[in-house]
Amino acid sequence: MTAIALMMTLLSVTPSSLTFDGAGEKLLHVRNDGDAAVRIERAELAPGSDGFALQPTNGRVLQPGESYELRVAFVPDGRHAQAFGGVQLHAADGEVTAVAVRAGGSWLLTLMIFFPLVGAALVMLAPRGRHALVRAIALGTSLVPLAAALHAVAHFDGAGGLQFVQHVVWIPAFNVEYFVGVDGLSILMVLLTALISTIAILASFGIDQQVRGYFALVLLLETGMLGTFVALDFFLFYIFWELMLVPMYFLIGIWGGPRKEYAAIKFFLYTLVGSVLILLAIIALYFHAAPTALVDGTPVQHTFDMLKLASNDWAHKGLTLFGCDFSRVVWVAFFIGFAIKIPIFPLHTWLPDAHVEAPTAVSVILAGVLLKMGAYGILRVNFAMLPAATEWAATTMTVLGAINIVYGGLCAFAQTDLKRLVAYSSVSHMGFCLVGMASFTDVGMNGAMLQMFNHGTITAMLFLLVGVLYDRAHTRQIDRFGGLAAAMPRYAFVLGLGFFASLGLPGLSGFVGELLVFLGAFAAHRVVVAIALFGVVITAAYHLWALQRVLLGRWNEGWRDRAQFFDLTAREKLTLAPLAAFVIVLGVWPMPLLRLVGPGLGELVRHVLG
Amino acid sequence: MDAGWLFLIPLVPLCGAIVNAAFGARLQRRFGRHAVSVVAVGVVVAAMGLGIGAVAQLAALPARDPALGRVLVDRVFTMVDVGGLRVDFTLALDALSAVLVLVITVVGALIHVYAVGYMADEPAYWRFFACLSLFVFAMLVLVLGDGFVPLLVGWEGVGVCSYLLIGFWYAEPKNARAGMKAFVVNRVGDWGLFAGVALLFWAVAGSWSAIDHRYYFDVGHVQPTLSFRALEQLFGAPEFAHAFAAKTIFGAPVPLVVSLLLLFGACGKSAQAPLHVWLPDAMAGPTPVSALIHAATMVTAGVYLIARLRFLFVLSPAALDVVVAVGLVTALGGAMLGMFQYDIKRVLAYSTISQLGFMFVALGVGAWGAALFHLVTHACFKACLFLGSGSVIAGMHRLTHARHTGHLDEGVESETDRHAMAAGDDEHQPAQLDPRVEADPTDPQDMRNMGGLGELMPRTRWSYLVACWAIAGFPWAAGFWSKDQILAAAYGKSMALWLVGVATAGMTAFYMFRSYYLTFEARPATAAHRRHVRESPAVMTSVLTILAVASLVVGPLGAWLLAHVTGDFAAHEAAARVTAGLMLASVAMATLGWAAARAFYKDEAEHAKLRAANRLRYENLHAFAFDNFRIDELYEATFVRGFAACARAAAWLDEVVVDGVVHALAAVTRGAAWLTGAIDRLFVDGAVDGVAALVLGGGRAARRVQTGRVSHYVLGMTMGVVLLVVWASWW
Repeated sequence: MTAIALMMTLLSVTPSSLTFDGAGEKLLHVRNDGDAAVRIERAELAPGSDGFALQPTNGRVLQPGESYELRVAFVPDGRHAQAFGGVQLHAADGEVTAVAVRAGGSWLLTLMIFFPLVGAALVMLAPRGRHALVRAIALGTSLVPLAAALHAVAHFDGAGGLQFVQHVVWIPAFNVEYFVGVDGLSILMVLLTALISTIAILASFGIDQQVRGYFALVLLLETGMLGTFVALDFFLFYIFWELMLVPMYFLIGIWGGPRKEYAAIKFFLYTLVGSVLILLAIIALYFHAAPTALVDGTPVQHTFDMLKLASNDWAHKGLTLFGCDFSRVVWVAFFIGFAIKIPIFPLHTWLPDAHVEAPTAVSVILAGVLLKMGAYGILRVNFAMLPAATEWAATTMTVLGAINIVYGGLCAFAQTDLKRLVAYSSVSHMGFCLVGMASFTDVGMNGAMLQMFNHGTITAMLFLLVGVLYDRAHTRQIDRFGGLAAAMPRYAFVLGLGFFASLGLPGLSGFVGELLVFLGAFAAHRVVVAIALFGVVITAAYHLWALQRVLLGRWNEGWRDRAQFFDLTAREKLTLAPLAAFVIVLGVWPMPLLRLVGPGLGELVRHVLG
Repeated sequence: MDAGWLFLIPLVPLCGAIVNAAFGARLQRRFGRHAVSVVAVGVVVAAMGLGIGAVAQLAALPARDPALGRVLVDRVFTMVDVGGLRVDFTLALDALSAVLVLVITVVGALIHVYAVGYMADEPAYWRFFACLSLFVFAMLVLVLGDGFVPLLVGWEGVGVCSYLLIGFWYAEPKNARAGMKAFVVNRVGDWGLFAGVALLFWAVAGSWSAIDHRYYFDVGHVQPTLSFRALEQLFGAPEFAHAFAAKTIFGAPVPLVVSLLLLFGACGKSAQAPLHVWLPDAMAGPTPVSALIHAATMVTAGVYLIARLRFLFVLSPAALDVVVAVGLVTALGGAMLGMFQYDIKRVLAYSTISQLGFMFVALGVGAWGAALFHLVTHACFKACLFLGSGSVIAGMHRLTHARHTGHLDEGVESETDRHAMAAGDDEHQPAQLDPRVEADPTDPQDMRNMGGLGELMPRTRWSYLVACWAIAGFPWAAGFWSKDQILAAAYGKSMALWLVGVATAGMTAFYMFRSYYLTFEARPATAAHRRHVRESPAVMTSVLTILAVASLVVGPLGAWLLAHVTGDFAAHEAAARVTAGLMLASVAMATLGWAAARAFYKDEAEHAKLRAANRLRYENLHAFAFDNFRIDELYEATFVRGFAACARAAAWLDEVVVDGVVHALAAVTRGAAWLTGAIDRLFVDGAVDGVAALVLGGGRAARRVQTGRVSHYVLGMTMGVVLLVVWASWW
């Protein structure tokens, strides 16, 4: 050993990490393996190690070979049934030795995220031409995340807080952690994603070109979506975020309609612009966060941990960027990135094109889940990390939301393609989410979250139904139809149900979210909300007009073969039934969902309002 | 008092609707249509039994708290509980809802029975009854729901049922359009309702800060609530009511703004001016639907809403004045339009609009009990009139059907036949008929194709006549009791109000007896009529008889009912005294209207003379009234066209401007990519390719995207991320 080595602290700690099962105390054996005495200035818990307690030892000197025991206790207080943290031993020479301590933790989310990836591999391994096998694998694989999501919902503690956490260091060199968990913001989105994915796969059974590739991409997409909703490390979040983009591009670009290349590239470039902004903003936050520690206690200068980033007071750090307030610039970058996904006017024109060209099941996923990603991102990142800037932008957000509602509705009214109409209705409906979020009231925020979930199920239903019609007629031009109710009575019933739910009929699920959004938002922005309320008239107008032109009136004589328009098949019914059940049950009894998200959103409101 | 079984009252019809919707088609096919009838009539009769039981239980309650009255409560479940807002799905039966529950279930049951006969030949019989049962469910939720959320569930639920039933024969585009018009116009009203609810919700529990214009809860103040009973309790405290009345929004008193917004919503549902335009078109639905939904129950929901929220409306006398004005304009306008219609159902539709106007006047002058009373009597006689018209239409339909299929047996043509047959013979040009001038002979609803039906349909005729007495307000019949109460209350408010009211009552008598004479008398029945038009089956005429008898007895009965069962409800109002003089004046006015109708229409010859004179002198005026004062055309030209233009403009903006910018950006990027590519090739050459790629990365990427090889870019981007992170970790 050289002299330099002799000067270094050589503390060894056993065991190398502590794992608790419930409340209790455990011992760490600290031993001086070096040749010189070490003075331990202090032993302390790393930042973020909530739920643990440590016996204080300050200024203890360890002779070479000497050891002592350090008592660590885990005290679950209801909020921290699972906890992750580290113990840091600060030696006199500034060297820090860290030991991870953890309690609880769950593999559930990891299993949920990556099972579809395994499924994708299996699908690719399936022999060529065995379409039925591929479909069965894909469907079976998607049932696992659905079961996991249902399990998470069933065992979700309504009191709030992060649950089903898995938190380990992943790439120490870049301070990247593998950190996943669900809380009130994400639990519903996880359920929605798992549900919509399964339904989309079931609805894709009609695909007969490049079947393996198709289902592998859908499963890859599911991994990306689930990962985005549960990732709590920004690096991980971004990887999943980008992971969604690629399969979506190919799904539109290969299996899409006549202008699929145009739509796919438009979608890709739009989303990419957003991604770049988000990436830059992430890096900006990364470098300006206060020094903290990784989950195993290792002290670090920068962090990707989204919770730790959220605990920085960005508005009062005195930072500037391009001569403006740092937090506001970063906020705007994030907002634009997420707004493209929602999409918010005027960044929305990729959506109708993508929908019109995408195959049915991809539209279902796009509208059912991907749009929610934008709203979720705004809540998770803009609201939770940059509350002061969020409050600064409240009016802007409300106005943008109101524009979405009214403008999207008007555009929907003018469409001649049924799928485009439904796509614009999504623009209109997502406006409600923004208005509700920007109200900073519990009522409005819960309304926005309900709207996200309910819009997911309703619009998925509508795209499935449009797909059914396209399947029969190979056209979506509204004026080519008429009088279909007589030929397809069950289809007419379900389409009516979906349209009325979409126009916000009380008693069906679309209404509750809208009502809460209006009640909540009216407090802050009376005039804007009163204008947004005209949405209820516009929505009714374009839905009913479309309904009339498609289902009612006389049979369109352009179709010679009436038998071409056969009623819903068993598989179509199977895809629609669960969504219809959600639409009806949540319309009268939204309480189960509110119980899941209420406390978490309440915390967020108080966080934003300080 | 808790009554945990109240939810059964709406639940039973809901089950009926579900059964008929899910299995009705199969039931009808396998067991005949009466399997469907048994379910549909069974559930509404069961609901009636439950409703009567509940009202009996309510009446038996001792009146403990005179301020709040007696009430049965059933808290079914909690819908929403977030952030201090708790919305319970609670049903409550008090005096007001008791009256409406009785009207809905009793009149509803009768109309269901009638419909069994009326819809007998309908292939989609099950669909009709499924919708009708669903309507009864929604209407019961509307009146029983304690709070805005259950109310809205019912409010929009009846709207949907109305939409479905107006467009029941949806293959006819006109019917489907009428349904859509009804729903959309109602939604316009709902804008006011939603805004009113939101404003009320916030105004009750706090105030807006003058500094940041944001709302704050008044610390230590009341919980926000949407429950009617909780609100009524709050407003019952004088200090709260005063504090609330003093609040302002944009300089206007909050009670006024809230009341006007809610009134706008009520106008939509109750077809009051300026949102009345949907109701005449709604007559496209089957006649039992017109009787139940568009006369007896749904259209009274607006009256119910205002009566339910009277504690709020009384805080703003100005708002009450607006209610009176709306009611008066509508009552008068509806009566004027009703005098010029030839379609028997449109006469009744305008009559309904007019009578609802009377109820609004009553609400506006604070005669809550009288409004409710008129609602009850109107339900009886207007249901009787509509169902009577339905009986006539069913009879006429056989004639027009025969004419259509060429089975018309001409018989011996008499002098009077010529009129009916003349137009029918030249079937090649019926489309050119102007309905204002000449009847379309194939139209079974046009009264000019009728006449002399009284001898062929005696029971229909007598019941219709009795209902005419009732609506005209001749002594003892129903309208005499309720309308005179309203007029007396109006007199108490102002002489002018009373004068307009009495004039309207005279017009009411005129247009109703006009319809009676044109339909049942006017001239002897033609041979074609005699051959094809028959009295309706007993299942229909017995209902007509019951309703006619009800129109006679409901007056005194209702007066007693209001005094005893629902005394709580009317307790607050200043009792208006119906004096002999007022009564005499209104009866005289009604007699005048009847006499005029008799003079002009009892005899076809007189009518022909009148029409000839009209055509010469008042053609334009007549046409103007016939066409709903061209209000539809006005709305079409302004709102509908304006809306469509806005939609087109938005779509243009989207396609040309917003997407244009995107395409322009794409073009610029492509240009830059080409340029940088050219520079790359010409100057930089292969040696420094890597540096160039880094510097000009954006342009190259776009060029590659353009070639469709996005996978390259994805790879590049991922590597970029890695590079950034590597750089970051060293920095």
